[in-house]
Amino acid sequence: MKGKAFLNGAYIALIFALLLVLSPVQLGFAQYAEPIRREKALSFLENVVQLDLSKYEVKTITEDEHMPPPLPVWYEEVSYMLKTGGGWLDVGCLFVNDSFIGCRIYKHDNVTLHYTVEQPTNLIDKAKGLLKRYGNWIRNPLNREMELLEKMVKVDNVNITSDDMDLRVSVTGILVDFQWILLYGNGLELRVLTISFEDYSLYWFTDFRDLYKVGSITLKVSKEDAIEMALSLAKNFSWKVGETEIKDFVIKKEPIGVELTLWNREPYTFYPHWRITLFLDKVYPGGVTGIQVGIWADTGEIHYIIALSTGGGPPPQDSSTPSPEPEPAPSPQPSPQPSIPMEYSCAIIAITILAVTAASSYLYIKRKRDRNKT
Amino acid sequence: MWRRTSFPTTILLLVLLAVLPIQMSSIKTVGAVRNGSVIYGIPAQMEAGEDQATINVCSVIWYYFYLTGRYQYLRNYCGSNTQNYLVYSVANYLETYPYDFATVFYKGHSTYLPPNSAYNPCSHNHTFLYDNDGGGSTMIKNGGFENGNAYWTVGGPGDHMVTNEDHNWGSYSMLLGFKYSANVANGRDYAYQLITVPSGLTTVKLSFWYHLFTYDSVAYDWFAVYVAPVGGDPVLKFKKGGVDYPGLEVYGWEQVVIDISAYVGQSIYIYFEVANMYDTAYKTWCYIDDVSATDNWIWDSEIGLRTVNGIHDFVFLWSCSTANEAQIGGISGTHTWGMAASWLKRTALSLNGYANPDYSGHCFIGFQYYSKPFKEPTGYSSYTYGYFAVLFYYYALIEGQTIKQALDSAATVCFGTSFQYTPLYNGYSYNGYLSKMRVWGDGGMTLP
Repeated sequence: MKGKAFLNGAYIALIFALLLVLSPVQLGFAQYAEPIRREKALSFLENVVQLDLSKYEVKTITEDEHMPPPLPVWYEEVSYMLKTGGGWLDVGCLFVNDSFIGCRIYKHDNVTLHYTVEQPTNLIDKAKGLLKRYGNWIRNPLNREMELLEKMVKVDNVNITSDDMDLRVSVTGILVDFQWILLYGNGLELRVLTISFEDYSLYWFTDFRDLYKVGSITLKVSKEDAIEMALSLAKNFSWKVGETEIKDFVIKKEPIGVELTLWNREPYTFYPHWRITLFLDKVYPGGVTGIQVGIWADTGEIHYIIALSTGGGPPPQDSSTPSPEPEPAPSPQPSPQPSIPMEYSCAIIAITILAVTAASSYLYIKRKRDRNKT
Repeated sequence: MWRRTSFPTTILLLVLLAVLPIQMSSIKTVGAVRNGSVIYGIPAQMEAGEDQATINVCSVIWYYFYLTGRYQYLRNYCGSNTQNYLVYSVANYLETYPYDFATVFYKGHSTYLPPNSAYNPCSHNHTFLYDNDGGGSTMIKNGGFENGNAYWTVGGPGDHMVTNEDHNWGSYSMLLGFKYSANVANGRDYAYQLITVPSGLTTVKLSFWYHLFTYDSVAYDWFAVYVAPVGGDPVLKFKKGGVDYPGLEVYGWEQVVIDISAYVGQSIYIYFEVANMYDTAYKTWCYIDDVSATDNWIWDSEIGLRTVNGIHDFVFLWSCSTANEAQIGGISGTHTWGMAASWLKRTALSLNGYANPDYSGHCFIGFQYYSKPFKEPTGYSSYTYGYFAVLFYYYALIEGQTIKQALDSAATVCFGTSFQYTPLYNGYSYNGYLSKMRVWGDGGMTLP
């Protein structure tokens, strides 16, 4: 039993280690951001958002390179704390390969927003101003985007369409979002530009127009074919709960979930993809209520098939003779604080050492390399 | 917030971490704020891939809490320790010790029960979470009839046999009634088992699945379930029959759940029968399967009895139907209903704490109808919903972001966009239900 516990511990430690090596824990040990990123971030705040930086105490808080698991997307973030009387702004600007992608601006406490130029009170005018200044800033006017914005009369949940682009505006509480979406036919679309306001001030700006690419919009597999392929695959599908294999299940004829989207098969390059969700007639062992199949629509290649272990199902059937509600039981005494199982303790030590070692080695080598460069 | 760390500092950190006591509960600082965090999950009730994803995600979330060094009580009970009595006990402990702040994460299954039903006679919706033993039972033996009729006593003039011709789960079920046998007037075909409901349990449920075929009306033929204490009178708990005759009516497979908490500490017979009464006309038979008597549900009302001081401030239940539309729940004296009201002990929460945080310092995240499996891809690169959960906690704990910011940051990585553009926020149709993640209360709060 002890041997088994140890093996479990080692196994958990391995999982931990793998997860942690790939996890963002190591973000803190990243290299310094290139000065150009810092300059760009501040320039965006000053020239596009029109923040009066002289009214803030500007402090760089992180300059991280993010390598989120599982790897394919790499971006850098420069974060600033802009302190002023009553509160502070938490600003994070994203870059990919030193190209500016966007900024998030979060307000903390009772921060006052100081602008170099008086800001319009109307959100449409605010969005127009931002779009125009951003176009000037990147030296590439956003004429098509502006044309759609010009058609807006009032801030509301609206959808303004041109040939191949949508401007979708949504209003939820204090959040107002302007999204520009490229349309590729067959329902394929890609969100490329977003401006969001929270309580009348900009809090989210992203521009993926130059970063995102569409690798193909060819539909080699039709919707009907995709459903047929999914049903055929699901027939021979099985899953395990513990040691028990479940292969005897009934797929409902309807509804069938069908979704055609652009999915980035390669970093930042998108391809059409069918996601077919087949629902089962009841909740099966393992909490499985459906089977999902992913199919690349441009090649017909199966991307994945999984059992969907959702967290429950519809309420069980009623019984005909009601019985009283569960009597509240007396609360147990405060339990002695249960100790961490031994396998976890082993795992924690192993992981901590592994993670810190990996991170510090990375930093050390990186710095040495950087020093050699200079 | 992580900072760049010098190499000697890193080495020092490495040494410190290696020699520090692992159990953060041993850290006691005079005058310090006391925080508690518990992570629950029920991998045993999940499909193999999902079960591993659940274990991994819970472990990493636990690790992020650990890294903060600010949680004096920190436990990862994901797995066999996720039992209802432990959940109740820990909730009570964190509320009464007392701690200043407590947070809970749960990944598993849950169901809400509509009001005025047999196992929820209350006039409000009640919700329960499953524990790691789920529908398994230690009280009923061979409830799936996979070992023939072992542990069951069967008899009567009908078929009463274990068969593989129909079943709910596994390969076998028990056939009762008169499918093959000739009808016998006033004939009762039966199967029963004697069980003991241990003392000290709180809510005990008898659950079974049935598949009924009948050509007769319920006035003449039926399928019935009785509970009979040893030496006492049988009590009818469930009865089902046809609406009319002579056409075939089929019901099921359907699950029935009966509250048998009243029999705690007693030995009782669980008795199933198919009765053919008064004449020999028209056949009726029934398959039963997956009989269990369990104490495996974690009830909202039971949690509400423990959260007496409102210490639980952030609760994240990654499971179904814990946050249905406007179902925050309610509080009436010591009685609570709904997971949000029961855990947080308050009902005045913003229904959209992401877009309209109420700055109450309390936040509940759950799912309206179906929750997303951890291993389901988000549709952006190769990220899954499990990664989303991990990254949410990373940004909330390690980066010190607010709930709203952490949702945005995790969404940026896993969906390539902010949270409000994701299906989690906008909803996804699953099996005919519009499901979504709901953030109630204060999305502007930070975790200590």
